[in-house]
Amino acid sequence: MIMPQLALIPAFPLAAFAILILAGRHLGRWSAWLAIVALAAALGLTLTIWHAPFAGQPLIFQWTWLIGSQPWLLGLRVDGLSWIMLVVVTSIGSLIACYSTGYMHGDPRYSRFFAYFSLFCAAMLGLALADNLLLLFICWELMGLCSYLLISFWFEKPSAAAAGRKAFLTTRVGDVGLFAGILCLAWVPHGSLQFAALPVVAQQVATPTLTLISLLIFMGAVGKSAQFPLHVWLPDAMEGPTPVSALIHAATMVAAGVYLIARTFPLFTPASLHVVLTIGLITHVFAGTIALTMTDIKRVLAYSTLSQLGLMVVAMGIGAWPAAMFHLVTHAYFKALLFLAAGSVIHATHEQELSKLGGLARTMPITSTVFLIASLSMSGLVGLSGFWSKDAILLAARHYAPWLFWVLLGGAGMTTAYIARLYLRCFYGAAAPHHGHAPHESPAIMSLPLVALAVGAALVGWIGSPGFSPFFTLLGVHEAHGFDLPVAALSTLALAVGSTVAWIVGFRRRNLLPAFLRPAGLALYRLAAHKYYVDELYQRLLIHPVWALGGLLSTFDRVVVDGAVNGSGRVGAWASEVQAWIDREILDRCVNAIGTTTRGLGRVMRWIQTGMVQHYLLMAVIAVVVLAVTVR
Amino acid sequence: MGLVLGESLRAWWPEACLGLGSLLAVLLSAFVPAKTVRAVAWAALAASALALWRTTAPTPTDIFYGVIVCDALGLAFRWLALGTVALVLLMVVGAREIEEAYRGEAIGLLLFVGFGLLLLSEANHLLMAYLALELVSLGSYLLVGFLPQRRSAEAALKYLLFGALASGVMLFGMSLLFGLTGELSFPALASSLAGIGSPMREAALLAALLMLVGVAFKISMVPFHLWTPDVYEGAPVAVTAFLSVGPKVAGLALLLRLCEVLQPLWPALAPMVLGLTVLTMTLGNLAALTQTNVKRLLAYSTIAQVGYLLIGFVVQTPAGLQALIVYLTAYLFMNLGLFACVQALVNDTGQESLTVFQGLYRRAPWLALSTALFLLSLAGLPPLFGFIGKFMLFDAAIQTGQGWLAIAAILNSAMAVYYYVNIIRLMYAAPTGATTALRPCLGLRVAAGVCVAAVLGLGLWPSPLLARVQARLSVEGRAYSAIIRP
Repeated sequence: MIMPQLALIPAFPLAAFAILILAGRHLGRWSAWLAIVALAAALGLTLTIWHAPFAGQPLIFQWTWLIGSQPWLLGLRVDGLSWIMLVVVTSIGSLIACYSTGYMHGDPRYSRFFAYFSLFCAAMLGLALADNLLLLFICWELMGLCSYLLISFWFEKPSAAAAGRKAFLTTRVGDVGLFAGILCLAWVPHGSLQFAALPVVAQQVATPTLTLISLLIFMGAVGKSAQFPLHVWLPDAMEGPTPVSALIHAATMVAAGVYLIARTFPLFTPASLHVVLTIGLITHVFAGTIALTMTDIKRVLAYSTLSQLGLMVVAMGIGAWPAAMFHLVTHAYFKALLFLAAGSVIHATHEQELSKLGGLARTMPITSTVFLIASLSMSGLVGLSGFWSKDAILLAARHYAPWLFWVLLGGAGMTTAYIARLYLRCFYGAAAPHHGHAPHESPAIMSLPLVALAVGAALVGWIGSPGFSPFFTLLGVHEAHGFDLPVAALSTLALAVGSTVAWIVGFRRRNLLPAFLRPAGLALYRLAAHKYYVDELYQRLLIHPVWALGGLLSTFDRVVVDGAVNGSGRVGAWASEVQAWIDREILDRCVNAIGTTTRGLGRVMRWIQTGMVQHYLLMAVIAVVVLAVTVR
Repeated sequence: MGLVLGESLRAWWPEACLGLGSLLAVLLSAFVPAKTVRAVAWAALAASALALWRTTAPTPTDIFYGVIVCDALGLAFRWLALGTVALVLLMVVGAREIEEAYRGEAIGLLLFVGFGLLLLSEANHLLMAYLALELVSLGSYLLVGFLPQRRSAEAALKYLLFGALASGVMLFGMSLLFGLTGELSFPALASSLAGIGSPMREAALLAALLMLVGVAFKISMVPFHLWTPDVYEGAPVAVTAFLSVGPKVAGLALLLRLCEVLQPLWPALAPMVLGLTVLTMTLGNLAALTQTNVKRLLAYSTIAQVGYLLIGFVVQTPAGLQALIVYLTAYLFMNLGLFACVQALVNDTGQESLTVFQGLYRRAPWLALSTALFLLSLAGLPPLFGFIGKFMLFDAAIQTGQGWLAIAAILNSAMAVYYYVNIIRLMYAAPTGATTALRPCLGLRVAAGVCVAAVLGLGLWPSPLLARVQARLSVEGRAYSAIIRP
């Protein structure tokens, strides 16, 4: 079905961006409402077209951009997968925009914030709507730009500026891969960039080529979704304002990598899926252990995001892409909520170190409650959203290989442990001493979105629960997985163990290890707390060598290139001398010759300084003669 | 006979409206203030545009006994000519350097030149082509010397002298051709030339070359471009804007028609034109790199752009012709839009060095943004209209197996990005001296606004235009062979 209105969905936030960037200064606090209204309009429009994706009919809006030797089509397309993304982005986006009006209150670049925010939403919606890889890549890069601008939004802080740069450069590594993949896909025989054509492409292209292309595309996902080894930018990205962390670095943009894999899933061969699985598993486990040791609220949440994204990538790697998408959706809600609640804490106390927080449950009841709901949802308490999606992944893992099931179960326990530790240390125990005013609950404009998101975080999983699964219908998958009691029991057990460990070790600070194991435990702890020294490794192995190479190159520049430049300068000077000689001896003689033939006229002309135009005319005549001689 | 004249007049309304309007405007300018002349000019333009809108000329028709032909190519070029005149009119009205007392005259002359452009784009006869070319040239000489400053008079004189030489050379070529064939009308010339034998062929070749020189002067093709920077620098900004587009439109139209006539000789001419095309863009870009005066810079940029445009001509395919028309449309909007911005700056500062762009972003954000858009479009960056045109041109070159031509053009485009983006850098990153807000007058804002809309809109949504151009201009295998009927 053709539907030109589709273009309006990204156009609303894009228009908001245009207005805000140009006239934001005059709008004051209305700039926030402009952004919210634009997003709400996009949400409304998305909801009104619900029937088509459910009926399995894609909505299409395509236009021919260029007519060359073959037409270039650009287009928007809504099917179940993109509709889900649209709903997630617009609903969470508008709630976070509401929250931001309170959080960013009084910031000197208030309207600028909402301008970038709107541009990001427009790009993300464009990405979800794109029906081909080219448009997707354009939006992908635009999101990268917004992410950079928003991470270093408080660029007065050197650490924020550095974090923005790091995020931009690190994701660029992945983007180069993605771009190379797109080029390969466009140039390979039978290749096509249209998503709808990918299943056919996959049948016609040789498997090794397909593996290469899919791995290159996966490289883009690794960068954007912060998978090992390109994960280093995400924790630093927490320097940005918290609503940005919630929207971009938890709920939507970082999940775009997973979405990309889901979109291009037909291209992935068994070999490349192995790579996907490995990378996802490493990220899941390794980020989870780091999250256990972090002491900054936002950094715990950042590593938790890494770990959860790793889980989604694992699901992709075992071929369970619907389960991965399901987890993407539930994760978007509960992780956005966790970040916003953390932002509420930071807003109230101006602290984000766990050691300086505690006992906030009494003073901030709403924040504490919604944080608990989100934590339980993420830990997978039966009935809450996170349970259903994690259950789907665990089931798929059990079908794939038992060892993977057990590893993921361990991961689930770890997830519970770090989030319970965070919750307990933040909201329970003795209240930390505060300088200045006492912490208080955030204003209604911030707490209302929290409550709304809490409802989502608790209930959104039901759309994919066994027996009632409109979610999988949307994705066109009809194999309804049943409710598996052993899996549910085991994951509840993992939850119980994880939270108990968090209570004893994380909150009560008891060391459960027997004495002889303690040095090893301490070493492991140190290793995780230093993030496995990956940053240091990059510093040692990449940045220092590159700097050294840069120094070398600059020496080369000075000695060789400058020498060459000076040499060519000398050649140029010599050439110009030759030219001057030609000028003097030949051209001037010709001019003089004409001058003598035209007798006094020529002399008069030169005398009144119009010799230049004579020169021109002479050149033109010579040109005519030369051309006449050459044309045969 | 009466029937032929009546039919001809009916097909000739656009020219008649503009011609009468220009006469009226010149007459009135002696008695009434410029505002009234302006109103007359707009009325004439609107009437002409309306008449052109009603003209449906997909099938070629000879009118006025074959002196003029109405066909799709002429229709496209007439639209381009009218668009140029309308946009330049906005600039002439908004130009502060043209004295109020003489503004009416300038408007009248502009319409005259516009009339010449219309005639040139549909001339089907050597005499008509020559007369129309002279009408355009004479009006342009006068317009160039419109400022009281010495440099303006000097520029006009240079232009006149160079133009006289080119005109003479061209006329010589035409007379040779007439002597060889005894024909003046294009179709008759083409059929005579088709059967020309060996000794006469060399003479015809020389005649063709001499005629091409006349056109090459008009479109500032290397090596007949020498006048361009000096004349552009001396002329009022609005006139420079006109010179950078109007004569190029007309010259390319004439070139296409002449090439059709000279088809039997084309194999001998092709390598030369091809070489000069590459030379034109390369020299234009190289010279533009070091300019410090904005009008001189744009003069060399124009030369380079003409080089790109000529690609569409030298490939000699329908795709090339379509690309030429599309890029000419894009060039019209982006170049005139850029000149409107320059006019606003010159109105404000009275200077023409590149330093006037410094910190423009703070003084006039909208103006800076529009300027940046035009520059990026000229540089050929997607998704702007300039990119579409360039893409089609290069695509046409590649399709005919002349990949090296496309590569040369792409290298040239890369070189051009430097000096275009340099202006953007000046506007956005350089510190500013003056900080007072700059507000262009209404006419310039309208001109720039229309051009921004076109550059952005047609860049994002070119397919309707492209489809139309494709449908109209590929009647037969060779797009413009429809001009000649056996």
